[in-house]
Amino acid sequence: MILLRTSARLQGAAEGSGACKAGGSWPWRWRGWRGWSLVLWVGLALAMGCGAMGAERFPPPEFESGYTFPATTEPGPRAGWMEGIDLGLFILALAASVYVVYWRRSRAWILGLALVSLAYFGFYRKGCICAVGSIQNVALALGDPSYALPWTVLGFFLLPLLLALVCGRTFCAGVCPLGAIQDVVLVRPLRVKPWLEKALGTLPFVYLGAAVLFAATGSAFVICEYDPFVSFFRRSGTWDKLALGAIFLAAGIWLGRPYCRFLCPYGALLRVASFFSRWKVTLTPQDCNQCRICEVACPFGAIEPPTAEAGPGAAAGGGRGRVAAWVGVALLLVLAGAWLGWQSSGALSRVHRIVRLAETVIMQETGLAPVDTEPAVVMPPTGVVLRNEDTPVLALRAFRQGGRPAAELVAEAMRIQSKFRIGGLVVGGLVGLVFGVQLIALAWPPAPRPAYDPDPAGCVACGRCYTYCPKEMVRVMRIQRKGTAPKAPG
Amino acid sequence: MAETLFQATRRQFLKGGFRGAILFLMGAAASLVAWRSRADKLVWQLDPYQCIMCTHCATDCVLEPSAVKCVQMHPMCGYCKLCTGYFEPEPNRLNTGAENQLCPTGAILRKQLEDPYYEYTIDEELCIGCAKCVKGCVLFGNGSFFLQVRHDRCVNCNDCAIARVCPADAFRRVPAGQPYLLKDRDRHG
Amino acid sequence: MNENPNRIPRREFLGEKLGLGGLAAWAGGRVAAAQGGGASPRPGRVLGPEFQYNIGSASRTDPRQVIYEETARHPAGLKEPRRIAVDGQDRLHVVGDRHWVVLDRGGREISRHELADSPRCVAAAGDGTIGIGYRDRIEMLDGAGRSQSGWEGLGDRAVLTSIALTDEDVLAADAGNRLIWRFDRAGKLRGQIGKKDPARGVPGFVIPSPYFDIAVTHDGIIWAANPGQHRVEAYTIEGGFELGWGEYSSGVEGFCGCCNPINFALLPDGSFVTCEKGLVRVKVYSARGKFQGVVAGPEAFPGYRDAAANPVGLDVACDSGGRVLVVDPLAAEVRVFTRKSNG
Repeated sequence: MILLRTSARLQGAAEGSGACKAGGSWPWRWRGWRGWSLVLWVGLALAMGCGAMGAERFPPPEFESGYTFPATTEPGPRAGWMEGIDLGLFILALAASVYVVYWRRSRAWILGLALVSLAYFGFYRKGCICAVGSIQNVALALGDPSYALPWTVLGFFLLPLLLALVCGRTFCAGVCPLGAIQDVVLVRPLRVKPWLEKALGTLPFVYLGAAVLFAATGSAFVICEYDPFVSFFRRSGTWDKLALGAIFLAAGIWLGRPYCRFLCPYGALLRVASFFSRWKVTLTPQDCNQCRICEVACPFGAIEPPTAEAGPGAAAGGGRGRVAAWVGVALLLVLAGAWLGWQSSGALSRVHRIVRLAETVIMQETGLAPVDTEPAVVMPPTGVVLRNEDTPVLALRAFRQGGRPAAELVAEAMRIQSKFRIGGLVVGGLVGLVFGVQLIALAWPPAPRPAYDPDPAGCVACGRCYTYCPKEMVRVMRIQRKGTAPKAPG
Repeated sequence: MAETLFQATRRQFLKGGFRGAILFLMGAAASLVAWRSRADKLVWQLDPYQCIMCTHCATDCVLEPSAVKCVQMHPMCGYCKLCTGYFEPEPNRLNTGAENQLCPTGAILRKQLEDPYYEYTIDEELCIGCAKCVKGCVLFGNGSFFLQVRHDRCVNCNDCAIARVCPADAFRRVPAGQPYLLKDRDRHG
Repeated sequence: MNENPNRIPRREFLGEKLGLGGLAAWAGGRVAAAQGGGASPRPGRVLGPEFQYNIGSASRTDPRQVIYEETARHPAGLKEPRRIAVDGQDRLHVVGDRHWVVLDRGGREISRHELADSPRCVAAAGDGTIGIGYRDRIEMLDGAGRSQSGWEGLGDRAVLTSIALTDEDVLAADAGNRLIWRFDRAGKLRGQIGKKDPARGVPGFVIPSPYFDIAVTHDGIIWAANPGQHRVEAYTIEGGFELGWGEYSSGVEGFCGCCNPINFALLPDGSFVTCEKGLVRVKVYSARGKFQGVVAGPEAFPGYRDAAANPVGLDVACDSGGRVLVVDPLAAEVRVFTRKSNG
């Protein structure tokens, strides 16, 4: 807000003030190399060779002892083909998850696979890169043309979604380390009221929207930053992140997979994909004797009761007219969300460091905050007084050293803000749409369901119901007597 | 019964339609991203020319000690007898006594080559990346000490915790094939 | 009543939505504050005071030691003025960017000449001849700016950082080769001065960075800065080492850092004005090298305190009236200091 108001004034004033410092540089060419692209670098090195490069540099002393300069070591990162192995193992784990959920139909096998994935993708690979975080890389690639997405990351993002379209959330069951770490601590599941479950279930969409907005504008990777379990995977972290993880794990003893259900933004995407999936996890719909054990056994409230006895379309409060009315409400929600997103974009844009820096620079240049005295800077909305070693003051100093004209910085900040406005509009509208669709879904005549059956959107294919369904047990025993692996019924 | 069947097929048809739409959307987004995608991965590195030596590299890495270390670019070094990256600003004597050293962890090694030149190298096991020596070297000398992300240690977080707080915006993703941003690529010897 | 447990009361659902909206807004605000504020204590590790670089006591000058005061500032009309020389008529010759600018005593521009390359040093002879040094080449110009021919390049290793002119000789300090070249006025090489030679007692120049200044007195003594040794040394025109003075100290009386002084000039009475980098300061030493006082301390050069790594250092010249003319490349000005009347 402040930025917009004062920037016009500044753009004229700052033109001269920042520019003169640009020349303050190292006498030889060292500093001039700063902005050159890597391509130019390599090209130069190849074209000119060491001698020509050396000529531009200040010559070091000539040693009589014949001393040669030790090379600065450059230990390489983990090899690129190792990333390929990660992706390969990821695909293997996805295939295995389909196998254990649909063919093996065994809770023990699913848990085993989850533990293996937890060990490799979680503790060995330290949680990076994961499908959940890859949302942000894809969003950044869409929002910033200069960021080239590594194809392994694209694979981590796309494959579980594709799989969910085919056969549901088997990724959540056996591959995702975040899911696995929560699944193993779940010992005394409590049932969450369905309305609360549905309502909290919209949070992931809000989180997803925010994460995409922040990532696409190049502001922050909030999913990674507030990932509650990555500190455990790395076995190091700041106390606040460790505490966050501990709270989630402690809550996870009673509340099944709290992160997956009420926060995970990738879960939100999987939920949508899985809702439209071709195949889904089922119990034994033909033999269901409506014992309701599975419903009680599911810690995630994903088993839906049969609707057959209620009669199709005859549910209380249902009817086509009501649906039409709720469609209107949904449209209003979309508009309201878009408006809210547009309105809050100014505040949200302050997450981007360029916007914050531009605000500090404007504060200083317009004389609102003295910087060379202590206290150095007073931050605009809160009035927080910053000391010289605080990050915004250091950022201001670094900016001054860089010699970039202030007007250019402000122009960039305003470009980012306009990105935020459009992004806020779109994301707000989409979140409104999700809320609206949920309302419509409540009014919609429920699908005819003759038996207790997992809801494909909410089911994470953990396989607990397999072990509790008496009919399933009978079926498995019958097949085992025949000596073949159990296959999905129906 | 007939109505139920009809409903079921209509639902299936709708679901199929939506599934197709989602697939199409995913394909569109993926191809949009894919034509810009790259085979090699990206790693984090800091541009030493932007670094302001603020100590965040030592405090904010997810690893302890940090994956960022000081490196020495020997051909840039002045081989000073009185290295301001090695000695306290007011050393009592120019020797390797701990009380004269600038580095709080004693991570810099000083070796006499020939009068009056001394070689300085970093012991990466001891360096925590606080950049105190970098400050001393840049202030008075040639700036041959500077910080770099050491990729034998870096776990390459998707969202680098130091990049998040770096006041100078010195961190960026670089191709894994060229993972260092050294001050001078001209290597002698 | 509740025959279908899955049916969700719409009112409850909506109420919960509103509550959730509030919760989400609160969380969003929290995140924004965490991202934006920076003033709240970071949960990360904290380093002790021993990890802070502290330059020590010398960053502040005792005002009683300051014996000069600033009397004028002349913008030279250059983006980055680098070096300065004063000729026999007290005109200022400032070089920088790709220009050579002549100013009169009061700082008004007399003439401006474009140069073929980036100048790195300048000297003015009594007869009006101007010597300008580029990285590896000398250019001699007459007062009107006409270039003399006959000067050749000094090779890849050469980094010229200073020129001094006598009636017969042109002396060029080469920081890359760590020696002083001696040419005649026509550009013929006559010898080298100051190359390390233990047999003749020549200690050799220790030059860690491209700062290596020389000056020549009326009686033909060459004074050269030896920054790596924190000394100013005297040589004969034949290359004999005479004497040196100066010592390391980050206190005000000595030369600070790894390699100082970077530049110096001779006052009419034979005393020295020295420039230092790192702790940017200008000081006066007697003709025998005894510390006299401060011309300008680090406080006078605030641009350097926050400057990026390795900014161009100060240069200094003195005119016949004893004024000290300091080129401040960061401020892009020639700053004039005169001795305080009581100092």
